[in-house]
Amino acid sequence: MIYIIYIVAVLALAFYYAAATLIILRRRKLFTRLRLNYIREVSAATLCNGQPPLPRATTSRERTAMLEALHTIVSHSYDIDSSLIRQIARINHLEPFIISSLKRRSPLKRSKYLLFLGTISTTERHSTMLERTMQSAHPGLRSCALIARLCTSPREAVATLSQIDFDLQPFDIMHIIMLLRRGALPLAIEPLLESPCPNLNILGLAIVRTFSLDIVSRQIYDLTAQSPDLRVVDDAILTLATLKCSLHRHSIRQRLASMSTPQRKALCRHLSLEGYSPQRLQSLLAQPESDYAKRFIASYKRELAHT
Amino acid sequence: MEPNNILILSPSRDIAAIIEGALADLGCNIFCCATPQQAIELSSTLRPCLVIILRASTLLCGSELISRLRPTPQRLPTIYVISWQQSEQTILSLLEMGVDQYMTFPICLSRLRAKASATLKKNSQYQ
Repeated sequence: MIYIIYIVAVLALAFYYAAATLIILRRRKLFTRLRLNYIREVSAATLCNGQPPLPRATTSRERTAMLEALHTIVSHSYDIDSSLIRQIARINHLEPFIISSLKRRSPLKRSKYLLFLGTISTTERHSTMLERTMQSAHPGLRSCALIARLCTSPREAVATLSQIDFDLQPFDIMHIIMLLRRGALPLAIEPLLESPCPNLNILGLAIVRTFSLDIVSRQIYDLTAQSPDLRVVDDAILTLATLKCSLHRHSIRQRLASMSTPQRKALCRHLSLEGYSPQRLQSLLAQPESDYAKRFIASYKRELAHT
Repeated sequence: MEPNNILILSPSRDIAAIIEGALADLGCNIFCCATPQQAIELSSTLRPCLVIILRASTLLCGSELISRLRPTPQRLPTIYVISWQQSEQTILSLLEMGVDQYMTFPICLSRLRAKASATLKKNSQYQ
């Protein structure tokens, strides 16, 4: 009798989990379909002449799908009419929805909603809340708050970036460069490189690498000689290598000599990928590293790293 | 060659949907697929006049996708690639492979639509 009860209980549990999984999968499928529909509708509306039919969202599920759709479109295109995005956000009450979602979600979900806020909002109404979130101990949350702050007040970008009390991470830099590529952030390169703030220097160097701006090589050499921050000096050396500039400077040689072996090896790989010849590497680095670079250049790993 | 068929190859349905929405009012049939194999199969049956590939690495992995999408020595279908990669070396490699247009993300949707519209008109004249 006990065995029968046990088997029935196991079967009931299995059935319950299978049904729950099916329901979740179906909900996800419907949600994806809803989001794709919104993406198509908004994308078509941005190119429509005259007054386009705007998509509507009434439930929280529809609003989330709408926000994801708007974020996808805005982050992949640069000619979107921001007034249209604001209009869609206004008629669907997306901003109050985001603010209410920010109050009760986990850090991961709050980070997502902060990015959505940056997508739809162009007002400085939420600057206090964003600045407070930028002090958060959660790295994802403070990064997304920073991106949202830059989106909502792009004119104050330099001031915002110089005031942050954490080091900019590759995630933040990637997002900021994406904003630059969309033309959503007015940043000049020289003030970033000449600033005493290491975060601005790091961002400036990343921009130089992304857009191959060789007109600022003098400022980058200055950074290798004058910056007290080793992170900035290392980044400046990598940037000079990306620009195919000469690395035969006293300050650069000094820094190379003080680097740890793994750091020098990483630099070797970077220089090899940028096309520095073994002879040039030999004149720059000690015997073990230049031998390592020769082996790396001769190996298939270089080709793999290129693709 | 069907002048009204456009094929979009994208591993991400969301990004394909952006392009689909932007080209919706061109009066053509738009088909989406996620893998190069599906693209080759669909291309042989639908015979599209424009193929839009939304990832450069799909072509840079040695798959010979372009020669299989374009088995005859004609210049049809026209192939666009849109990707985040912006290194000169990648762009030159793609153009040498036979890609007709290369655009980087973020894209200008109105410009993409204008280019696609011009390509469709030009290709319909060749029919």
